[in-house]
Amino acid sequence: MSSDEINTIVIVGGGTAGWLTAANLAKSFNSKVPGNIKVKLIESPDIPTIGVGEGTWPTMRATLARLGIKESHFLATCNATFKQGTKFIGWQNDQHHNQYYHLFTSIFDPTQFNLAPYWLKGVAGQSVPYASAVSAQSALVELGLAPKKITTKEYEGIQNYAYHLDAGKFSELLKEHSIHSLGVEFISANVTDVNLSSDGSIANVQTDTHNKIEGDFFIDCTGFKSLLLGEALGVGFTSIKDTLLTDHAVTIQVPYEHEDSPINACTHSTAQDAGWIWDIGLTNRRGVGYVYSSQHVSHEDAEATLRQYIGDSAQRLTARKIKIDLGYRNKFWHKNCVAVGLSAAFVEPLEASAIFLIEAASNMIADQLPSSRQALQFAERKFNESFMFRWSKTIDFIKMHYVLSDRKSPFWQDNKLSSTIPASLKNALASWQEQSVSAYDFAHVYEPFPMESYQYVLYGMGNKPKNIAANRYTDIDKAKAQFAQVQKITEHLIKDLPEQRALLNKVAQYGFNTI
Amino acid sequence: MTTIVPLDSQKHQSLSLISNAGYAHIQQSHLLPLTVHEFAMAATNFPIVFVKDAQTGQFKACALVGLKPEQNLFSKNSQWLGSYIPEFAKLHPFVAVKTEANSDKYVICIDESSESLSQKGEGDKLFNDSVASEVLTQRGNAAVAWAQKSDLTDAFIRHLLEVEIIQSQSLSISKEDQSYNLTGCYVVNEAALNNLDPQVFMSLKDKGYLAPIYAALLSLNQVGNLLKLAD
Ligand SMILES: Cc1cc2nc3c(=O)[nH]c(=O)nc-3n(C[C@H](O)[C@H](O)[C@H](O)COP(=O)(O)OP(=O)(O)OC[C@H]3O[C@@H](n4cnc5c(N)ncnc54)[C@H](O)[C@@H]3O)c2cc1C
Repeated sequence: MSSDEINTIVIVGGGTAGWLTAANLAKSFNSKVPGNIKVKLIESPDIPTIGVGEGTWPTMRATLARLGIKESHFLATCNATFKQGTKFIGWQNDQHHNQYYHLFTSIFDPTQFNLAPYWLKGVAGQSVPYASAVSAQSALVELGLAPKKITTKEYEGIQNYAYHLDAGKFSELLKEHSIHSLGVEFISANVTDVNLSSDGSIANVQTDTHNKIEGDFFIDCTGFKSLLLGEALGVGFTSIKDTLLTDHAVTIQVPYEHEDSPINACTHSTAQDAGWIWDIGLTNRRGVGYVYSSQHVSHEDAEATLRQYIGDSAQRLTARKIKIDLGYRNKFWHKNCVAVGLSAAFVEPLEASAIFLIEAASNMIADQLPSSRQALQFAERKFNESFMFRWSKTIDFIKMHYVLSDRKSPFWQDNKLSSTIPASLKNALASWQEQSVSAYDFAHVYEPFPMESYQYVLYGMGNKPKNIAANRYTDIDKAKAQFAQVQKITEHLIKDLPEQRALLNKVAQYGFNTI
Repeated sequence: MTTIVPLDSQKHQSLSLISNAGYAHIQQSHLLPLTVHEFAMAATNFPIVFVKDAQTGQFKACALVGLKPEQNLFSKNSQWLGSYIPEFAKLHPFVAVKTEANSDKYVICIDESSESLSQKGEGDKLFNDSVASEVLTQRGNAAVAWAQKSDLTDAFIRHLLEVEIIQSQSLSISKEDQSYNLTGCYVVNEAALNNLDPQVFMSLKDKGYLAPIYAALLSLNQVGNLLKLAD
């Protein structure tokens, strides 16, 4: 222990966070070569993973490609499907049939030429939804089409896409790959104690069956428990229950009626009296869940609402209730320990940001982990600043969905109380009342949600600036041409792209090519 | 429209085959499937490229016989303008299809819409009292033989993909005021071939793959031949 070098990384916890982080670090450090930085992962054989978390972001494609996992293999083993965005149903108000899309692709980059002000001026036509004016994807998703073809090479899309996946199978795949291809050392044991050194950093962790495990750097992936960072190092937790009001989820897995039932090409998110229901289609089943506030609905009624949403087929299915503590640790990185995943923070899964932030955290750790313990303090400061920013932006963005709603039930009204809205969000919304969203609102390189995401949600929810002066945004011809181009591309893609299940069946049979 | 159906001695009893029906069936194909056994000969006439099958995404080896979709520069007024005719072009209207994905049994199918088939007794009868005629037996055997060689070709291509010597290349061809841009073509990449690990390279030799690989590589010079025919 005399050496100051960082040679061994110990990850505690084997959920999505643990295995994704292990794989990412082992890949970055080329840990399978003896003498390189070693990555060990301790996973409890007794404590189950959370097992939900079925929507990713498009970044997952680059992550999997980099880890050296074949896309066809990933799709087959995780019952995964292509996700092209989220359809928000009933979010605007209590009337039936209001919906909008938050998509992954716009045809033209709005940071180059922003079509939104022209859409606001009516240049795209009077009743064209924002998403349909700037993207082909809402039309594709309505028809259940895939974002690519069997001839498209792996991880490439004709349209941008992410995945829906089975969280348990995904962890299994990452585990298998980490151990067999990337050189991660796996220890199946319960951590019973965390031993600190005199300087307050972690010296080693005590396990029930493998004695002490020593390490130079520790990553806490123990889920909500936050065993290392929270319990052992005493880093406090800031609850955000006064901002985001949901505190429970009840979930049910719903088998398809037929083997060849169509698969939704995006996540469905349907507003309810005390929260919202997600509906995610995998190849073999749907995963649905009601995220709700127990202050506004009883657990029994929440489950009943979910069963009603599913319909008759819900009768024989079992529901699972999960308590969720929304909030974040006051620091994510402390001395020689960093928390990744639920142990670091959790906001409700409305925009499926958790796995994305796990990818981002492990990328930053891989890049910033210093060679010597002396230098840890610098990485610690940078990491904490970066992720405090990302989490607070994520909280604002999620909260924005609620603030913009005109739904009338107490849950939704409480969500609009000024005291529940972060000042940063109030400011942003006030400025967007005067001016349309602009690239200058997103100066930070690691802004978690891009400008386009805000545009889809703001304009989808019907939140428009009060007034766009006639003497501004005068390149009407260019805007018209681009709107026309979007329609043309949409028509072409509708004819060209296969149905989601048809493509997934073909992938299972033939696989995607790597070139 | 092609309508490929299994050959049936009852249903197709009265059909006969016009043997010199020309190349109408491939008049509008700029790509013709090849088997690896044909590479050496094909390379003296056309560029050999690899393209993805639209239905399966799997690579097929093809002779490039046109400079744009629906153009076949080699087929003109029922004549073939090259010294080599891909075997595939001569199978028509017969195709051998596997009974099951991994089986080695085939059923002979025909393209019912083919102009080389006649209901009026022109040419050679396919069946004599529901027994396959000599012509049918011979053509059926040829279709099966081609399908088997096509399987070996698939294995060959899979191997080339594994060792990563096939790469995407958009063929931009221009001559004076004419320019053509063919996308979706993949070719053997010479640099990748030269950079192969010696052991991997030897494995290509042992499998007998080197000759067709070099044939495919050299065949790319036949683009000039296509341009000449296009004049
Ligand atoms: C209702 C809900 C819906 C969600 N939906 C999404 C979504 O759509 N998209 C998304 O990105 N995310 C979503 N998430 C978040 C996502 O599920 C998590 O971010 C992700 O699963 C990571 O969890 P984890 O690995 O941090 O924790 P867990 O899955 O809880 O894993 C904890 C691990 O630590 C181990 N462990 C605990 N204690 C010990 C010990 N003492 N010794 C050894 N090992 C120990 C356990 O065995 C387990 O392996 C959702 C979460 C919830 C609650």
